[in-house]
Amino acid sequence: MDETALISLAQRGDLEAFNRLVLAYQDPLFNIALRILGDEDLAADATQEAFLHAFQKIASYRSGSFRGWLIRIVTNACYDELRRQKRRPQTSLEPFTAEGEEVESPAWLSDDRPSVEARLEQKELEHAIEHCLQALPPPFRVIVVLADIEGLDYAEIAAALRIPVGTVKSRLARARLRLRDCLAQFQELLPSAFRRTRK
Amino acid sequence: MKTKDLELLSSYLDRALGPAEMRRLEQRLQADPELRAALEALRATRDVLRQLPRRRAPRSFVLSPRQVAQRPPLPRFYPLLQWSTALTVFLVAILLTLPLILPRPSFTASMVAPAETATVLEAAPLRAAPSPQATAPSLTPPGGGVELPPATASPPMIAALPQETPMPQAGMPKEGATPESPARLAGEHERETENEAPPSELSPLEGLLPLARSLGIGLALLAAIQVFLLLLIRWWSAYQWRKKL
Repeated sequence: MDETALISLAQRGDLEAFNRLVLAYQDPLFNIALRILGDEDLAADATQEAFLHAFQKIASYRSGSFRGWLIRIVTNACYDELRRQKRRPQTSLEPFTAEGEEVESPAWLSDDRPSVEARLEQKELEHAIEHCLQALPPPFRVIVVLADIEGLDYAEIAAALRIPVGTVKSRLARARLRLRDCLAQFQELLPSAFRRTRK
Repeated sequence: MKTKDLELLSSYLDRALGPAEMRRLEQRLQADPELRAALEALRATRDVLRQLPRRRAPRSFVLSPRQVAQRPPLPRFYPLLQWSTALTVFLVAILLTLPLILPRPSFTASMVAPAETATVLEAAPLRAAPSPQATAPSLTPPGGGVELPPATASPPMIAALPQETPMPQAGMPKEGATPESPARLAGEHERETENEAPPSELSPLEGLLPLARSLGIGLALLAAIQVFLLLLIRWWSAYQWRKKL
């Protein structure tokens, strides 16, 4: 059954049809939430909340990209979570102590599980990218996740976030610049192509 | 690097520039090694981000009937009703607090002014009565026919008075002013009214306040009906949803 038919059934309250849509979109939506929130458990909760909300509001979905509609819902769920975190601050991901001194082996870089060297390096690179992503202000982070990680084009991002394309362009450019400067701290983990551009 | 150039490079990477803009930028890239280096740095950053592995969802997010039963789907017009209820409540609040928001002095002046003018005007015929002959010529033009209307406490009288005052002024220098003359009383009234807010500014407020109050009460009733409808729709949706599950 195609997506339009499933949406139509879901709009009439068919939970089974909606759950087939959930299965089709749960991985991309979870990945978006994960890269925005930087925490697997929080990302899972935000994704679950987004699907529940989507089912609630599916009657209001008219036309256009269903994926874009779901992305808007999951990014809103992530924003809600970020607002909650702001009200209840938790342990910082920044590799600095309360006195502002740099921590030599930050907790987010450590991985206790035994692993082959390449896998460990990949994991560390992922941690480094994650760290730099989390250092971005949320509006910049969301756009860079949607554009560079999820591969959405400017028009899709603008439609999903309900912002002008010009805003998408400028935020993405500034986010990439900040990421470039942040990633420079982790040169030894980065591919040679990146290291060459910094020389 | 200029922000504009940064945006251009970033859009160029994503092939989001128009043909003319792209051609111009490519010409600049050929001539400017610094710009080329900036483009390569942005490209490398984007490529690093694209290397992030895709994760599988840690669990299935399919919804169970029990999960969705807690929040049944609501009709399409429900948000519209919610917004209109919120708007109605807002309007009710504005309309019912209007008398409290309005400046006090003008409000009290509108209540006091007619009473004061009424007492002045009521006194006028009583004091003018003993000498009707003395005042009559000054009020009646040679053509005759125009008489000072009987004094009442009604607002139209107040408005009429200033128009009549020029006539006695023309005749007064010859006969001299008497304290009891209606012209003098009218002059007094004029001076009194000069010290107060003009009646034309007060009357719209006097008219508006009761209207705002009745409108507020009407809208409050409407808001109550809307809230009742919202609750009814919620209950009905939940009932239907439970039956379906």
